Amino acid sequence: MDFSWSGPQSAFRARVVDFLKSELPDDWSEIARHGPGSRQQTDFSLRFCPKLAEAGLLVPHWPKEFGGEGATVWEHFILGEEMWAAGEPRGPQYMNVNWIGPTIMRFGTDEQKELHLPRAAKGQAIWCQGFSEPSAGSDLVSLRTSAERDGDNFVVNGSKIWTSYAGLADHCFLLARTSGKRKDGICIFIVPMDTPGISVRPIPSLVGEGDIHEVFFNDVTVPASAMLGEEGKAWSIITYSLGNERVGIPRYEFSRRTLDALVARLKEEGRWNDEYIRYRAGQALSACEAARLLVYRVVDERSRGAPPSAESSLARFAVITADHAVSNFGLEFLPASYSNDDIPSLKPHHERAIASGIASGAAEIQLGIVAQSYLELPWEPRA
Amino acid sequence: MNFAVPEECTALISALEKLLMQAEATAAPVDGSRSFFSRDLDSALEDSGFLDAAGLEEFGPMAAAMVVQEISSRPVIVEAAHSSFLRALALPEWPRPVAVLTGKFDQATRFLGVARSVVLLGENEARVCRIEGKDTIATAPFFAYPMARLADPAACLARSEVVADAALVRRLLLVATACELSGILKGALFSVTDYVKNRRQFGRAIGSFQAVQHRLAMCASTIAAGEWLARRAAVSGSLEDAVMAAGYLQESTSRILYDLHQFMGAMGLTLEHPLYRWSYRAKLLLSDLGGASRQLRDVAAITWPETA
Repeated sequence: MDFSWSGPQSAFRARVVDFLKSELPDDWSEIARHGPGSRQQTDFSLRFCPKLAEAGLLVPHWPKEFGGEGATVWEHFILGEEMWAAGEPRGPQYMNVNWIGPTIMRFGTDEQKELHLPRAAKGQAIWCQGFSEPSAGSDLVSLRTSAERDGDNFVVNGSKIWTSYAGLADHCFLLARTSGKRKDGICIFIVPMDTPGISVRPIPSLVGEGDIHEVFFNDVTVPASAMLGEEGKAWSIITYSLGNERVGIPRYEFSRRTLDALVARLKEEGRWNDEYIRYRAGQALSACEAARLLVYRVVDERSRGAPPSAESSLARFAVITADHAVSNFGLEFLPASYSNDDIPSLKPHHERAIASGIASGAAEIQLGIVAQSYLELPWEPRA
Repeated sequence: MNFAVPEECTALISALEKLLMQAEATAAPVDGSRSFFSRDLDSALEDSGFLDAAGLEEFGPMAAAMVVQEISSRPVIVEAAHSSFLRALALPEWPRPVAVLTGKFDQATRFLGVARSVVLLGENEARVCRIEGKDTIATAPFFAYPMARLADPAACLARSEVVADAALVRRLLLVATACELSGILKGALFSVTDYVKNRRQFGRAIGSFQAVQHRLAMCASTIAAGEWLARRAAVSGSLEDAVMAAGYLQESTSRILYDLHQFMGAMGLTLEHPLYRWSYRAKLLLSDLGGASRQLRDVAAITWPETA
């Protein structure tokens, strides 16, 4: 057992850090303030990710045949840590490299792979995730958006909500229902966002510009060839995708770097000798490190090829706790900095923290998984 | 980075589990006594070498952490943590069980009444003294540990020897506390989950209610993190990791114990169910080495030093 980084792992991290130092522009923190779904950050990602790709650092963990370098699971994770620590300059494209690309690789047709993977590997693709609906959030299986067969096509009707990045995305990873059977009636379609009948309404929010939207599908014709995987088999694909997504984001690293910045400001203000402030900083720090170790444990399992387990939900809850611990620390001791906007990562961190227990599978879903799969508590079906 | 448990550790823990199961099977039933010490098991653990793992090349501190966590997770009470870290790595010549006094040497502390060595830890030096039963006075068994105080602290101090750097002793004790506390909390959690799986109210197992499930799941996430923080602290030898592990666990303990006792209901208030053997041990460890307040202030000061 070894809690330190190996030589190759440290070298890989140094390579990522060096790249960020040389390629992030001086005004990056200004761009990052707008949030990952903003026009500014999306446009930046379309300039930055191709450079990342050229340096072999966009999809290094993908197989060589799809533009990767066959990097290890740990190297993929180190890349994510450093990107998040820098405020995630990949913008929406982190989804492509973490789970959309790998899902297409595993379940897509040759045509789909050829169409979508090269663009993602070059840093030119912006996706949105068409999962949640007004009546299907955590209870995703209740989704109602329909896809009715019409010859070689499907006609999609319905709406999605809380969809990140939809305003600027070129494709949607869309879940729609082809029959009334609950899990077995759901299919995945890869849909170009400029298809006639799709309209997007941004929802003003607390979590950054352009981050959440409603997406309406009104008689949208999608070719059957756009279906990912077999008809009615989408649930296992979604489970695979969410398994990748749930620990794919090392947000504790962003929390940790934000905490560093908060402490630096408290020192500048001559307040670091306050014992209570130190105590609260220690609380937030230990929450970040607790999350880090549980996430590392999941990454370690994945690196050994173990199937996804409830350990990832244990880790996910710890990450949420860390996000809130750091955000609460900032709000308690440096509230003026939120108005003065003098710590660049502070507002983006807060925006992510308030969403962290809601997005990508609510905290309560994670707790339910821990209760039933890790603690093996009984599940009583609804009456 | 490698979280895989080495084969030799797995084998060691497997052998330890057998010994602990035997001890639990032959132990006197929970009989209403408030404090408890498994003298036979304590001797068996010493004789079989489990408590020396940290100092042995083939095992090391990781194995010691797992040994302490495994022993502490059981409703048996033996002196394992001090021996596994402090004695194994800094005081190998001194007899065990080992009790520890910090700050005021006239206070009651755990295991003192059964100890053969007592460590007197001040801010600047660590001393150790051999003791016998006549050197101690048993105190009220409020906690599940056997508790005692020194009959004559000054005399004990006078015949004690400086043995090791106080900073080293403090770090090893922090690791010991973190490992012991994480094991205790894990044992208590699984005792309560067993109970809520079987206890039925309103026509169903109380463990099937979401209000119960979610709070136990929150406890599980915290305890799992504490377990790994403690293991990292044992392996790394870093003071920062040690204060963080102990502080994180001490900080979390009261909330976890509230939920565990709450879901055990009145059964957890009895001395006929062993929950108190975990929960009252954990309550004592809350204040070890200054408690969460000191540990968390220390980790902040180490991580972000004044001059940096």
